[in-house]
Amino acid sequence: MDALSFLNFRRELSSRGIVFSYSGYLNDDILTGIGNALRTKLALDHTDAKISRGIFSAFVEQVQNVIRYSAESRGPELDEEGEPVDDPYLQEIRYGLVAIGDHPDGVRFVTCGNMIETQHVPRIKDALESIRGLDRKELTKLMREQLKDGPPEGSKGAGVGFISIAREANGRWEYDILPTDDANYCFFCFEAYF
Amino acid sequence: MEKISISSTARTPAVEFDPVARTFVLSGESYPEDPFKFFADPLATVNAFLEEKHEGPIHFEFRLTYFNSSSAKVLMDLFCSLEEAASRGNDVSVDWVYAEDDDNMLELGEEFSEELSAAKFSLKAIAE
Repeated sequence: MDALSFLNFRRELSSRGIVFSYSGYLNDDILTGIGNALRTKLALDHTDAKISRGIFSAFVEQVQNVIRYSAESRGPELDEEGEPVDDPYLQEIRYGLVAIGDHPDGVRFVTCGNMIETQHVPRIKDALESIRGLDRKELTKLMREQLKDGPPEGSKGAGVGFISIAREANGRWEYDILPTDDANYCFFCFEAYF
Repeated sequence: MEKISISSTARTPAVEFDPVARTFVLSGESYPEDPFKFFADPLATVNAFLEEKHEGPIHFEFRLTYFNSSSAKVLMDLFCSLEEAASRGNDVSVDWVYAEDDDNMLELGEEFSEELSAAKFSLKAIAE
């Protein structure tokens, strides 16, 4: 056991301004749990209500993206009929990373990363590039129009998660997609600023 | 048609629906694991109610403090049902209640109200 290496791991996170971090398999209980701790920290810091809401909202949407779409998934175990078995511990979990923190200049960030299938890269890029540069008002209008038109094919939610995060972050967000050793998978990273 | 009374939880809103008084109130926070599943039963009842012609006024009230984007889809569908009910001759009023310092909820209320023309819509700010 080497405490120094683990302390250095913590220092590495701290040097990036990271206050909350999770890397591993995620499910909705993790969302609830980290979400509660995040809100508690924001409340104890007496963070501005608008900024707190934006951070929490970006956290919820981003973690739900990982839970729904990360390409690294396990479970659920299925019975003979192909239905998920009735066991709370044999349900679906998906791998991703979440980090929340603040930069020395005071800008707060909510970052998520997960593997995606390379075949989905053009669709995700198109969706994100189409909302780049839009301001809060434009994003609010676009969100309503998209909610009315219905979700795009392959969506498990309303298909407006990124629009919603971009809106909360007042258009301040970035993303990056990196190839991996496996040509079928890329690493997708999204960051919203508050 | 039966009354609906669902208490709020950390991630799900309270739902109160009274078909005799013709009132519906949705309040609290909404970011369920699966919003479509959470809202399926109550909204099936509410939508069946809205399909009918009613003699008295119908009043819907939204008192949400936070909802995620999947819940927004559910709300949008409900607003469309309310507008259709009003356009079929029902007297439908919708109140969007928000904390006076919550610009976000005000903006969302304004945006959702774009779907309503036959139904009456009011934004109501309340002191926290």
